[in-house]
Amino acid sequence: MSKDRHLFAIPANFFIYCVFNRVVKQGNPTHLSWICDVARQRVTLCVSNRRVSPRFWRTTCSNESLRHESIIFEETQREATNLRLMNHPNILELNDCFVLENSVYQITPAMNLGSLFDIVLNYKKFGINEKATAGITKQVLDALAYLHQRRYIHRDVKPKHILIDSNGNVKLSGFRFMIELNAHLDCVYEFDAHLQNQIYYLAPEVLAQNMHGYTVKSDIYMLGITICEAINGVMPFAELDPLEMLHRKLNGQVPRPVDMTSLKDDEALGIDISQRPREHLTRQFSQEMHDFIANCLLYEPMHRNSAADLKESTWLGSKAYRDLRPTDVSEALELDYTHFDLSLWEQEPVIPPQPEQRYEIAFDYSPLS
Amino acid sequence: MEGPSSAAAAANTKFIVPDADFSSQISDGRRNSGRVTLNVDPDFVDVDQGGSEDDSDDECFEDGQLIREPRRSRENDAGVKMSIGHYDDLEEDEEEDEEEQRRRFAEGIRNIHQNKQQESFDLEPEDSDAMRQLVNTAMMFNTDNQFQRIDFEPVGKRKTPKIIEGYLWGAQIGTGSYGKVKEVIDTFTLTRRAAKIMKYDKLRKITNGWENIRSEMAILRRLNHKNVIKLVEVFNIPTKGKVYMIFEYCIGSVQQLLDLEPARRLSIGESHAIFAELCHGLNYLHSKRISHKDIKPGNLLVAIDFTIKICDFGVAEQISIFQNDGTCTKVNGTPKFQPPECVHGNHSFFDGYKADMWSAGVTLYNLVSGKYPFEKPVLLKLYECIGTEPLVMPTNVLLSNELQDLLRQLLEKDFTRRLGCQETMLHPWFMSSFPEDQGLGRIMERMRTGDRPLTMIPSMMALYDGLENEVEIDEDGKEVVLLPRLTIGGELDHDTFRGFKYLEATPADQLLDGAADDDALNPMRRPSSRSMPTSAPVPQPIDAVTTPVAPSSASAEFADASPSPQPKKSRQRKKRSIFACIFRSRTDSV
Repeated sequence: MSKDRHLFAIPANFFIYCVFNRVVKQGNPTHLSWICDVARQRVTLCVSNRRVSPRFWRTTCSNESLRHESIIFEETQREATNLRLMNHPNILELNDCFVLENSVYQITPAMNLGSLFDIVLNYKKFGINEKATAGITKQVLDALAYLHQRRYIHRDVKPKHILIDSNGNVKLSGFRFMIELNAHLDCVYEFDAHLQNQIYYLAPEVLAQNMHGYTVKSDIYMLGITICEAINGVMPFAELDPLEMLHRKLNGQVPRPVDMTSLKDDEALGIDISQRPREHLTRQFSQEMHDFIANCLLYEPMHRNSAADLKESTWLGSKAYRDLRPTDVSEALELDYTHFDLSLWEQEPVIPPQPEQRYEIAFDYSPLS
Repeated sequence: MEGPSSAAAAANTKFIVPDADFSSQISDGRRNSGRVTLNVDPDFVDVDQGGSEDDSDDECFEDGQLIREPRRSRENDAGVKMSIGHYDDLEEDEEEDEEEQRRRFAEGIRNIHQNKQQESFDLEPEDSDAMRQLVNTAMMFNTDNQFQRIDFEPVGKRKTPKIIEGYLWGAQIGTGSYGKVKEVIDTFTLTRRAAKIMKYDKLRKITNGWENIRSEMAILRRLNHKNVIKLVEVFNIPTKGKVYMIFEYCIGSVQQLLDLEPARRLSIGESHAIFAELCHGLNYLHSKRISHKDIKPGNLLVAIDFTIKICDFGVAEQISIFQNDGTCTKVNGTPKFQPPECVHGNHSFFDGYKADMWSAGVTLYNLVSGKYPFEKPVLLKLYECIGTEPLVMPTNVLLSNELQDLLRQLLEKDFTRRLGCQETMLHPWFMSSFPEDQGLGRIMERMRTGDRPLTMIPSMMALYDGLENEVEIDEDGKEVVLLPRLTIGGELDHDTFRGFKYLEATPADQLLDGAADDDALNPMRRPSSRSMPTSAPVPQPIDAVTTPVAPSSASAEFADASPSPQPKKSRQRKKRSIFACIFRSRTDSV
């Protein structure tokens, strides 16, 4: 590499990470990777590893947030700690983690399609189809079963934390809020303002904050909401205030996948469905899938099936979906992969020459207040 | 300081100095003369000296004779100063006040509309209370509820949910020294919180009221520990004359748990668990150089996961970092929980940390046995008892030798020999464990049976589903419109732990209760400490429950209890948005 091509390189644990400041819009899955540092500056980070393949790694850091920087730092730390405890093909592994200047860098495998949220937002406006949902759900359930068996609650299952790559591999990330079950009670009571990013996904027993606590079954509820969002293309309860959302959840109102049958039910109840998109009006999901989601979203945590049981449910255990492979997911997603400049991931990054100033913009030495 | 303690205290205060023997013994060791000023609770009626009650002058005993002396000279003394300045206005009733205000407000608005009293808004500051109230209430309506239009007709008949500063208001869950504590929920992050409401009027009445809450805020904002209450937010609404402190939510205090027990004591194992958490909290406070000075069961709160949280830092003192020991001079707190060096009057200073440990010892004694180690109906006798009488172990429960040893060492009169926090945590009793059925098992049982649903659920129904007035027909056959209830539940009661087996009161408990009372047949007797109930509340049978809330089926309960039926609600919802069809009520799905 010529001297001007990378701004600086730091050796850490025999890897070499090249950091440059190509700013790419976050949420665009075609860019190499992105990072957000503790001082809430966003810089693009490309990681090059010369000795070991695969060459390119995705880097994440704590999302930008209005919370205090020390809290963000703590959460990032906790996420790194939690990720190191995990070893499962469907859980995002942490390859390296280091601190540079005032940033924390986490080096993780690159998932080049981005998250499920990105896919739905950019390419699947009316939701993904049933086969892809089944494939993704199956892999997420694998990860959740692994976590629950080890007495952890993930507490942050949402489309933004389900990462997919072009081979159809699904990995669960977002371990900032993972918590271990109480040894005596098999439940947890903790709830505070730091969970406010995911309140729309949280189960009613978590939001109720009463003396019953919540168990691993609250993850199953979050998974149900996540599937509904992926299938419908919109976040459930999105149009409500948080307080009203709480009220609806405590009354047991739940979202469900929108298709021909559910819209017919709504029409029978006197709801105008003429405004609905044609994609929703014509598609038809299997009854097993409706049952599966209804089971995930049951009000009583006791009545929901566990992650291990859901893998054997009539929907995922049916003949069509029993042997879903990761490659089936990428096929079923029916994405036009020309959207994704996948060649970028295969070769060494081409870095446009940068003026010297940009270097200082990327790492601002302004004091942390 | 608004001039205050002199003017207000002159009327109510008695200054008491112990016997001349004491002062002569230690006169050489003290910087100033042997005077100790005690600023005594004005609520407290001294039975012995009832005759001298109305004397506004100061009294002191010297050589057994009553002499008078101008108060100025004494205020300059540098001895131990003691103020027990808190008392509650028990007759306060906010709900009635609000109704009253609302009616007055409606009248006022009507008058304004008829151009009768338009000039009355240009009020002189010394104008009547009524009009000031009117203006205040008008401000309140403007600021609080954006959703609400002021209409005049149903003012007396409709209540609306209160949302102040982003918090939806729930039921009252406790009473503090300065006012009510209510449950609130943050409308953005949906976290449950407890709001301590303090009125300006009350703060003014209490000696050092403002200073105390200011120091409380200053201390609490630096603390972050599992066993210390967390202060989330503070705000002040001058138009209402109230200060609000938002804390993390707790289900109640240890004192309330004690009151629920017929025996008025907890099992040894539970006491051990509570005491252990108290020690962890105290250890943290002491490491932060803070002396709490008011440790008692009423100031230990219980969170929803049964963590014990120390609260009420109103009289806590931040000890200077340039000090090697915990020396402080200002005595504060609850008399029954005060160590001898505070009440004796023969020390010019005492150790704040060790004073906390004494209070922790009294608390442990109280939790284990339901009794206080030193209990006298009269404040002066109580002080004498604390200072002189030896510790007597409770007879109603069997205490292990280790526990007796720990109590003796904690309730050691000489504070230099008393156990500190670290040493207490190394004591064999502290490190011992208890069989499952009486220790952790009982707490687990409480957590299993306990139910503390959100108290503001009817308010949310009123906001989003519409809540209609109940109509009842009274004896005369007329229709009476009842206001809808906006809250369910409230303080800890027997419904909260339904099905929990409490400790039965043994004859020994009863016997001792009687024995303690023989001193105090005098009807003039008053409790010598605030928020310390004089008698245990009678446990109510479960059948007499008015609003039962079954655990884990909150929604079903509300369908039964609430006046608005389910179908009407869902019909309202359906018009709201095109996504409404995504929702399905729970009854459909099951």
